[in-house]
Amino acid sequence: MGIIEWLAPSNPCRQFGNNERLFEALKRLDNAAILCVQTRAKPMAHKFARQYNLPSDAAEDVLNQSTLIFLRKIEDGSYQFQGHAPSTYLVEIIRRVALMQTRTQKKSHETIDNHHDLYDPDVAAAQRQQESADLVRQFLGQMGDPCETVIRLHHIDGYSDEEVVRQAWTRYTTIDSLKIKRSDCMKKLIQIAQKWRSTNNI
Amino acid sequence: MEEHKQYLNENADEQERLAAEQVMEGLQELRLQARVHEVALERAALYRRIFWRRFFLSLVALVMITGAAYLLFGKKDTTLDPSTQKQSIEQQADPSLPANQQDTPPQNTNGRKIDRPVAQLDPAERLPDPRYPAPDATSFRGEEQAGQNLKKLLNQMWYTGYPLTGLRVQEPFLKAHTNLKNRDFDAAYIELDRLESQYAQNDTLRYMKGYCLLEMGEAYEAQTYLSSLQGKHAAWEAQLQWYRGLAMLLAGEQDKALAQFRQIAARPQHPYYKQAKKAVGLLSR
Repeated sequence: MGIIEWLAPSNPCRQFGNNERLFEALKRLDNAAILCVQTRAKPMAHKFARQYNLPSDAAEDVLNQSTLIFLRKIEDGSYQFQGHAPSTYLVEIIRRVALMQTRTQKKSHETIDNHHDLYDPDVAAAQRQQESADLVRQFLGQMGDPCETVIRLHHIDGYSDEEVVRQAWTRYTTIDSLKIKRSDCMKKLIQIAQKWRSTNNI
Repeated sequence: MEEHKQYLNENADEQERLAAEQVMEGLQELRLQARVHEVALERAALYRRIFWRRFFLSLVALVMITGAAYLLFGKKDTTLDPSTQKQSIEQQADPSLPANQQDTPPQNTNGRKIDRPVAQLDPAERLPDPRYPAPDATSFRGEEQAGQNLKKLLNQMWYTGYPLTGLRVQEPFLKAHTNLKNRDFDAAYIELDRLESQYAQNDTLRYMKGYCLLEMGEAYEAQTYLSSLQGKHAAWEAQLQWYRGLAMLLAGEQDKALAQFRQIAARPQHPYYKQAKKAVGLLSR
């Protein structure tokens, strides 16, 4: 990074001109777009953390957790662009997540019966998805290479098959062979998950 | 993201379908988490950069403000008050000091603003007026008008001072030394005259008496004493040359004095170089 670039004011939202372009970039999980909405929402995350008496370092956790929920809602289509700034919606999620964390803290000091109104569908979904993620991580570890790498590069890191072949990150030198291998690995992964579910009576 | 259905067997049951959905949900969650983690690192780097940029710009601003404050107020602080200025001028006027100690910036003795570099100044401009006037006119003989002109001329170049350069005074000359420092030349002369009976060949006494006679306006006698010391003490030589020139001028021997001053003015390293240049300039008019 040159000294001029270093001295230039940092505005991660500059490249997105308007809210619609920002929303389209968020749908693609563009890092700069995520950084843009987080930068705009961050002061509110700190404000809610203070307002709800959360620890000083909780604001960053709240922001990251809220961003996950926000991106999920964009991916599953439950959040549609209607002309408003996407960061406004993120701020609303931040408020609810911060409130939920406050209630969770109180819950640890009091009886559960007094808090049957704690349920938040978004937070509950986030917990379920977190459990699924932990399980998949565990199954991938069990499978080992090359399945773990092949699945991770495509489904987690988001690289295209062309890029993976060009960079030679796996032993598969053609796109077809890579796709065949990944399909085979995914079937194995589903079988492991199915086995785990039957073992745990789910 | 690929659809999970493509990974299911043709006759997949409900359990397999649910397992596939859980796997895809887990993978999607891991993907989002990875992306949010990446952005969190980028955000941390961004805030670090913003912090250091603000720190750097604040530092630059502070340096600039300090520099501006120094330029605005620093110069005013270095201005001397009148008493200090006077003292400075007196120190410069003392030819007993080596010339390099007198090379201070030019003093505005005439109230005129000197706006040229020091190197371009005429020697007369660099020198303040002599600290003390030349001896009284009682020492001058001859025509009244000529005497007044000579006195006027001498007043402009009477760069004398005590203690004498390179002279170390010890007993028994300390009393005369004190008198000379106080410019009580009559008392000094009496004391030196008394001591001369015992220390007639003492160079310290002869130098002190030559200077004393010069300040009393006794040009010829002063010349005798000062000339007798010529070439005997290297540390005294430069000042002796200047005083002998003054003594010659005081005696009305302008040509001899001019030659003496020209010798001094030909040597830029001479402690009385500037005074001699001024004297040559005045005498050559």
